[in-house]
Amino acid sequence: MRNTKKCNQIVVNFLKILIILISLSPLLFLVANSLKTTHDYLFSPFSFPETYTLDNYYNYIIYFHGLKYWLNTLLVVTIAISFSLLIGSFCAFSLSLQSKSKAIPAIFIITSLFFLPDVIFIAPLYKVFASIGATKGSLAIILMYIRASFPPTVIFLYISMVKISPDLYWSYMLDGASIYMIFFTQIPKICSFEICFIVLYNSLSLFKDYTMALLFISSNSLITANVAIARYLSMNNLDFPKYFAATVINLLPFFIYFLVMPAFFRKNEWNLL
Amino acid sequence: MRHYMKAFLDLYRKSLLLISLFVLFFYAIPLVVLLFDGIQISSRSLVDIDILLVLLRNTLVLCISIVVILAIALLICYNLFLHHKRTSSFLMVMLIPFIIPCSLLGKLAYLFFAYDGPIHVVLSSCIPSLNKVDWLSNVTFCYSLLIFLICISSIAECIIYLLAGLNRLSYTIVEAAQCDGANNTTILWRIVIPSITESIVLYAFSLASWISTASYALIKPITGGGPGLATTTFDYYIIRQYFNVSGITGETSATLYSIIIFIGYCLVLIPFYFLYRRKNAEY
Repeated sequence: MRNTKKCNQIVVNFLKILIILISLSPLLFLVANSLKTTHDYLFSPFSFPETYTLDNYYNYIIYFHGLKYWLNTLLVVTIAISFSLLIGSFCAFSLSLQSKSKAIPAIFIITSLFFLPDVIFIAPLYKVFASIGATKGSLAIILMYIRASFPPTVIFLYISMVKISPDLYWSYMLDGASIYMIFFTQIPKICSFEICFIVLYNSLSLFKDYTMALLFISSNSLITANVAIARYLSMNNLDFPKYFAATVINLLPFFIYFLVMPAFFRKNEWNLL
Repeated sequence: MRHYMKAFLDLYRKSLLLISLFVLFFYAIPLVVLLFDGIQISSRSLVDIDILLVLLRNTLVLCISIVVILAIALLICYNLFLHHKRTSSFLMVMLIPFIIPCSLLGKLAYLFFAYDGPIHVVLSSCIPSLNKVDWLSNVTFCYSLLIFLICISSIAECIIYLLAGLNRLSYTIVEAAQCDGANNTTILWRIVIPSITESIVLYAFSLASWISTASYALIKPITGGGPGLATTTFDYYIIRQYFNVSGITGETSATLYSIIIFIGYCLVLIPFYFLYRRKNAEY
């Protein structure tokens, strides 16, 4: 019996190590090779660098103006998420105050929109946006990102807000607060964890986006980081360390996010779940 | 009291208006444009039933990853649940591939496994017979690679979904089952899985939808949808038709395929709606 348990434990630990290795390998490969020269990479792609160089990072930031594209992404994503958060949380709040029979049809529609494939609307939306001239600037991609982040915002926030007792709102209202005052002052405090979670969730998925940015941004100076990196690779054919350095810079916010996240989740209970 | 209810109702109306505007601008108008374009197309020969079947087959093959992901995620979630944990350092490590964009994962996989890539070079120096084989032109290998990449990039997300479902299961039920002599497999099969069926179905549906209609960024750098149409999914085909095939032919073909996907989506959604209504009626 004890032997079987030990055997199971060994198998589980082996699988855990294997999964950790597989999960970490892309990241390690990226960082290690971004610090190598092209020569070093071509001769020993799997080893750690013999001589460390930051030239690849320097090249991307100074000559390619890589940070500009990163800022483009940040700007577009921030505007889209702020807008969806404001409107989405308002909708979630008002739906959570209603009885289930009134809220469920709206929530069902939003849930089905969440799963509705984007690809169906690529062609007609491109046509609509082109007709109003939105594809020339960043407006088209901002609208696309609002479209992508609005449904999950409403669903996640509704799930958390529906647990709050209406008595709490009534007590605030008895003290003279209007419903809008409750929404702007109390809800951010009560649902701070859920709001942070949805912002992280949306920012992660929008920062990762490549297809929409590729299709809906026509101006070269407005392209987002993922599209810029793809172009950077085509400019530096076979010079992969440069490409890796560019992707490491692009992933830097996610690394920070990743380091902060365990503490964030441990500190807060998973109220949302 | 009546005053408060009136305020709530007023808020509800405003939110319904906002949702309606959102649906109108982002879904209703594009859908009308899509259907209008579809009606105007005189020739229906742009939709090839063979291509449709190939795209469906490709999607179904890639959907194998859903089973693999669910199996691994279930085991990890159950393990976390038994140890009264909602998160762990192990889960955080698994989130790394989820953080990396799919386009980058695809590009890395291509670099690793390309004919002149490091894995190919190392392996062919050890096994000379591999030197003449380009793995990425082998359809079976491409599918295996894509399934593997979908698995490692989605598993953490699946765990989050399943943990959300497990949160509703009381640990005392599991303890009671353990007291009655049930082993882990029985508890997992008879108690845990039935109690999180909704989360499993929701995740499976979401991933299937992603594979069939949003896997362009992953597939493009690895296989480019080829050889031929062997690894092309619906979204890849529509994007290629709309943006790469010049003129009205590509546009109309993309429109027709988009309409077909929409009809397919509606057909899947209707049973879901009845299930949803029945569940809510039970509560």
